[in-house]
Amino acid sequence: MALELLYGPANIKVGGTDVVAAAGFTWMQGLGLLAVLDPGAAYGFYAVQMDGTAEGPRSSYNGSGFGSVLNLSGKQLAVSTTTHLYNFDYLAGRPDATSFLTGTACQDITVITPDRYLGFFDNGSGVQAQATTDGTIYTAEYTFTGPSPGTLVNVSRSRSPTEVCLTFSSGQMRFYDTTLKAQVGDTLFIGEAPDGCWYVPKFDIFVEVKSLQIKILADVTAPYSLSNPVATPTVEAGVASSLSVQLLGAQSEPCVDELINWSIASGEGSLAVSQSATDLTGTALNTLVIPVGSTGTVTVDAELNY
Amino acid sequence: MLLETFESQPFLYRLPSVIEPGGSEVYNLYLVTSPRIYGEAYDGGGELAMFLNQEPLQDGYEVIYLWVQQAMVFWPSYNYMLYRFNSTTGEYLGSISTAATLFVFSQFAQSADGTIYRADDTNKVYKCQIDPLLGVTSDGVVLYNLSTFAGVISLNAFNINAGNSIALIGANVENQLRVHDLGSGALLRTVTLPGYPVKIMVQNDNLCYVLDSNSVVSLIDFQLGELLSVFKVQESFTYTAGTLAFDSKYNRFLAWTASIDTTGQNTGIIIGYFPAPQPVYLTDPIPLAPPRQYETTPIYTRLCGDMGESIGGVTVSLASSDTTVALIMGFPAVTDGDGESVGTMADVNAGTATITASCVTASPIVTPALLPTWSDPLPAGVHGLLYTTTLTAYGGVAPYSFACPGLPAGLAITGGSGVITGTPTTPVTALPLSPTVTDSATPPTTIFLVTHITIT
Repeated sequence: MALELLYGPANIKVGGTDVVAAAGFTWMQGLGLLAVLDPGAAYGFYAVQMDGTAEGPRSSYNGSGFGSVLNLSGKQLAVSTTTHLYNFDYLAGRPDATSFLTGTACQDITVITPDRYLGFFDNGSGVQAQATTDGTIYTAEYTFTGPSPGTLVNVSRSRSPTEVCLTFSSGQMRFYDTTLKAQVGDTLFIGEAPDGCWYVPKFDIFVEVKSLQIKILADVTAPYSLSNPVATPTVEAGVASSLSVQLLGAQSEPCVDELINWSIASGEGSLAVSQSATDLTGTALNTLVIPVGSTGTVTVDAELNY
Repeated sequence: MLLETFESQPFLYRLPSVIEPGGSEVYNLYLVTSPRIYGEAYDGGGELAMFLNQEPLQDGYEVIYLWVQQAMVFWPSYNYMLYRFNSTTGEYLGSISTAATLFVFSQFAQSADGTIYRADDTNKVYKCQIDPLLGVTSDGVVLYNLSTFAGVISLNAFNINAGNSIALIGANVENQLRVHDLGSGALLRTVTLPGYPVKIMVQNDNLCYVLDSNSVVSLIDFQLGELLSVFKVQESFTYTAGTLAFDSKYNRFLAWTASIDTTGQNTGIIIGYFPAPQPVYLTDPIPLAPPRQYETTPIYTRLCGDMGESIGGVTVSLASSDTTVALIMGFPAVTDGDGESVGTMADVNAGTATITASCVTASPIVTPALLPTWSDPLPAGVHGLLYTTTLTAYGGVAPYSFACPGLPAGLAITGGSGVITGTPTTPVTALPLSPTVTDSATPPTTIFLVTHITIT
């Protein structure tokens, strides 16, 4: 895992029984992960809590033929078919009977903003944010850079009312500001291909569904490797040397704000601090001073405070 | 599930029934004599109704009426009964036979002001009244004809908000509440529901509750066309197994259910519910940040109802299996409006500890007030002959103790049972008595109720 696992994996259960099918819908603060589940008897629309226990159903909605659409302009969700968009009342667990948009490619819409509809897909120029007002004609407004994210899995609300969190099939998570029309912040890595992953702004965590199980992920890169300390300039008696280590995740992304414990394992010398935090590059610093006239070998240990 | 507020004493009744071989409505056969077949049953096939009506009682002014269609002993016809209950205590007050014609192919609705409406099978709406002697009556004047309303295909549930000239309609082909203008019949708006509506209960000029086919009650602002919240109804009070009414005066649901036994004697209970979810699940404690040695970690829990509804204002506690490894610091914490609570755990040493969460949700059931239930006058006696009667009470905390000073000569009361017995030696006429009943509450409550006795 690239994001650190906080809880799980826990089987998604209805009445204590593992479900046989699950399709995440969206995270709704105050209810849980809204999802279409099959507890073995019939599909229903449930609220899955962070520990995997599902409450409901509130309707027998099965999601068949519908795609989930995040509506930033109101509290309601929407669902799409190939040619229509329908309001979806998450309390009722059902879409409205009549659509509010008809177009030839409504199924590509995944976000509704106050002024346009957005889809995130590859039209031959890499994965792009594409805008439409009629569900038929799309215009590219941003092209994502870096390693290919794959196809969009789901969209969730994010840190601000205009920002969305995009989960891709590669396990990449990117944040897109619908007003700035650009990616904001670094790309995060779940570390596996998820069935769905939703950001929870209230607690700055992620809820992932994978293989009928739920996982809670921190918005923190799981430490994967810690470099050996590097001294600049070279350590010698009577000279203060700057020591640095770098803490990285599995995708070589920096681990930020982690505490590194420093100690002198052997030899003569003193460290300026016994503990320091990693910066935005995952680097933690210290200063080593070797007494004048000292000889021999000094061994410095740096360990993650874990 | 809804949060329970009170439960009535069970009342006994016996229902003779037409037997339909293989029919699911037949409970408890107790005699078979061809061609007459008798059984215990009640027909709950959507033809139950529950009303509140103002009638002066000694302790209140509301009576709950429960209308039930039941099979008669003379096969194959039906009987129609109104059961009466004290709306404060739920006490069973008796029953009235009522006209069958009003109920055949009819649906009933009670508006927020207590008015009872009836819609017949042609969607014509009539105003009804409850008479304590005659039961439900109707003047037969058509108030509205809902069949002329645009888009109404098959009326499945309805109610009237006369103050705003609004008809609330559920049709059995849609998962919708339809809001129509009463005057023009125009469809004003629709609200999406979890299932198709089977009962519409109006709380005031803006809000109504709708019970649907998924046993879910939805609270709806029918003026704005917005679904505000949903609650699952207890399984025993779904529209097929019992009935549900909304008491707008006390802001509670009232439900009735039958309990069938094997002796031919059935019981019914009225239960009141707050329009609020009952807490049923507390999640596992979940860290919201990676635990790190010598640092603190926020710990999350959520308390919810069986639809995932938030339960706020409840204190949640955490416990650590090894306080030398993990020390609970930020608990107990109180759940917020999302039902969530967050406290902190200090990671004091390396090792493994198991964190568990718990909370206590106090029983909200309101104990009915202590209420003497002996009659006035007491049964008459004859001097020189053995006399026995029993004082009874309802509510409070059992067991009770009774006292009755000033009894006629020769009679005495047993305090623990309330039995008055003996052989009166002299006649008395309407002798006033002030019996008392005392319950076992802390502190105990004592109530007296004046009565009279005549010994001829």
